[in-house]
Amino acid sequence: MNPDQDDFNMINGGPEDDFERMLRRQLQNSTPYVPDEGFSAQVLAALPAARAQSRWRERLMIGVPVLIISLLVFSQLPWLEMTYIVQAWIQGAMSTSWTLLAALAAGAFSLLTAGCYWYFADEK
Amino acid sequence: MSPSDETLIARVVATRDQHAFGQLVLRYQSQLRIWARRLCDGDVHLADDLAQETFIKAYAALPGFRAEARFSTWLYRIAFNIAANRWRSKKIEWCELDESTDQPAEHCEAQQFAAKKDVEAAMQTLSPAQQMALRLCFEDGFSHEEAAHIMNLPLGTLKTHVSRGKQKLQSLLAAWNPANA
Repeated sequence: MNPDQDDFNMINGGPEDDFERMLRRQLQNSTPYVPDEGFSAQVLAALPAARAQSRWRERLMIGVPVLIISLLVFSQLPWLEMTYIVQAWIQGAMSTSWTLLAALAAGAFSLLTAGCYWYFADEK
Repeated sequence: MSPSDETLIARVVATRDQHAFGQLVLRYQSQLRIWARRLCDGDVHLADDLAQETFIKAYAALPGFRAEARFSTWLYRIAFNIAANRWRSKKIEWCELDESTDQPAEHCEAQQFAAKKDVEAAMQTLSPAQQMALRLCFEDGFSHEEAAHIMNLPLGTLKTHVSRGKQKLQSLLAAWNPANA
């Protein structure tokens, strides 16, 4: 384990004598290597699952800043003017094309469904 | 090139990366299982159970690992503590580390040790504490301080075990001691 012979001598406060050198060589040569044979896999299987916790931590780390930034951005928007614009647009769209409105609603619903599926897919 | 222990440990601590921990287990399983076998008096199944428990405890305690000691020293110490607790509750046959008497070795005359393979036989005549101390220092390459830390002994006691064990081996293995050649 300690490959550097000189280091060992320094650590243990003096040079090794012939007997110590011989003893070290014999003991190290006689040490067998124990093949893994599934031992490591067994250990890993017995480890407590930590992934669920870290996933929630990851979501919090992403979600909290996004929420704060979103709130800041939304607080700066001219809501009243936007309401008028959207209202006028919807009225215009309703008068021109019900098909366009239905397509927009279907697109938004599809995006929402895909987002939910992606978010919860990993938990299954 | 495989990542260093420090890199793998940092990954385990930061993200509980089980793949990184798996690499550490693979790297140290042989050494630790051999150490566990010594602690369990050669019982392979008990030893593997002890080694597995050691790795699981190490995984849980890794955030508290300070790199003041080598990772291997730390692992050996955990295994030693688990074994000591089991021994106290009599779940395993083990040895009393404070004993100072050597086992009788009348049948182990120096003349019997003509071949190198007889080192093992000579080791068996030492007290368990002496065997452990010598193996940690000479076989596993730990310093006296590290071995004392692993065995939870004062440094002076550890050095005494090493010195007495070595003295006895020297007399038993005199036939092939290079100094006597």
